[in-house]
Amino acid sequence: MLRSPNAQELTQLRRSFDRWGIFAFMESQKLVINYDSVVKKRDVLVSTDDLLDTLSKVTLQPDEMGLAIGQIRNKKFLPSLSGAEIIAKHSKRFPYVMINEIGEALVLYGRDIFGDSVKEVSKGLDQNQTAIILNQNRESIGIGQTRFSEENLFKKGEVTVYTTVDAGIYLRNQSD
Amino acid sequence: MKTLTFAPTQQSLYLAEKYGYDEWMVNRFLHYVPKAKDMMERMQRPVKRYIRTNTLKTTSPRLVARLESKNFELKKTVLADVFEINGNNASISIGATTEYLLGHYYIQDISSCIAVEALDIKRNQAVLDMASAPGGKTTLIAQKMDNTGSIVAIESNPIRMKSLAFNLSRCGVINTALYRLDATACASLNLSFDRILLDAPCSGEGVIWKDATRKTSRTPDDISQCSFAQKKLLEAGLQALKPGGTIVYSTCSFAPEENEYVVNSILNKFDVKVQPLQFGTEGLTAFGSKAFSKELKSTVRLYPHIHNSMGFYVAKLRKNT
Repeated sequence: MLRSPNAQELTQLRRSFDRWGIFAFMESQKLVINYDSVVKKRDVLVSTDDLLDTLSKVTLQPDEMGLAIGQIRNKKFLPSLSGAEIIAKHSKRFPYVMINEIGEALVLYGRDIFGDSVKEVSKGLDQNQTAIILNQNRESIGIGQTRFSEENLFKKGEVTVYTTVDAGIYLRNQSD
Repeated sequence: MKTLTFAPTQQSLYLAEKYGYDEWMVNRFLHYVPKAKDMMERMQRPVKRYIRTNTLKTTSPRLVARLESKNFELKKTVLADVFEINGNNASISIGATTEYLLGHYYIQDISSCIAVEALDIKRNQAVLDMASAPGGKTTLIAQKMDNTGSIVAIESNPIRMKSLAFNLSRCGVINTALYRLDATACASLNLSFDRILLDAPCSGEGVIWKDATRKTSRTPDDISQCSFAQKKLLEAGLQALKPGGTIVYSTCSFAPEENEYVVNSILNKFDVKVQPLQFGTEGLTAFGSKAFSKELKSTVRLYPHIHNSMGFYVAKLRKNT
């Protein structure tokens, strides 16, 4: 079911957006919640006023709408690939791991990241933290989970970041 | 309507044998494709590939610089953000670069871009895309609107719907809603639109370049069936169009039964006016013994051997009342 975020969700989202450094940008966006009551999943979408106005005139729910930027889970906003892209573009402070070209090619095949490929990480990055994977153009190419804290993420010959989602999924899904 | 066929000739038999087509198809080409032999010859050679910059995510100069640094050679075309892949010394395919995966461009034939160009879309309009998968034209419409306004995209095939959703997401489109519907039922949404694109399902004569099986896999009956369905779709689209609004009808077929016949039948039924188009060869005003409205000269045909594109037909219609 598509609906506007309720007051509680809005508070949770604002708090999370602030943590990801996109509070100001997201204030200008039209947010929609796609609530799946069966699995209790709440997708967060970005849309336009005109599209919402159009859809309000139709009784039939669309199969998809807007851009899914993430989910609300455990009172937190978890960004999707599109959400990570917004963060990488509009935020000045967010957890990230920047990798070299070889690492980029591997990540886009869904592989994990070896310390050898890591060029730079954000300050204070902790173990088991969700981080946005950036290429050398500072573009988001995926989302990962750190195995170690900041100083150990460069460890050679060892996977230091697990790739949880990557932009290569667009290609892999096309060939399904 | 029965698809027009002609008695075999020495020339049609020879060309069908030489290029591996069904004779009836070649014989028809000889009646409506200028320099039909050149076209069949052209379709033997590798297909031209084009990319279109997704200006929702980047700019053409930035994209060109990045792809050239990866040894892709890009050539400008008649459309500002569309480039021909002129040569490729790159180690990866154009469909597997990081830039592609990040949605900086879409691999799309120039003919498809010309159809969207014809819509003359403005920001904040309400647009209907009646047969939208896999999303090349839908994402271009969104880009023309700068992600404002609203697009209702209809697709009846659930598998193609998945690739449509992926492409919209990859390209960062926020102003679109997808409905899995038979497009003839678009009136059931009770909405009216400023612009409608109907890139109708067709027999695909124009994509033989890409899919050689179509040289022999279609029958005259397929063309008749397509023509019938296309007319229904166009009528449904016109019912959902606002007065003063524009609908663009296109197919990737050369067959007059799927193109001029369809539009001609609409001119007799609806208060619409054919609008002139910028690119392409003018539409037919007769085929066999059938004469069409002179207005159809303003519709356009694109041919592989003349325009370096897929075979395509585009008609732009303005609804008066």
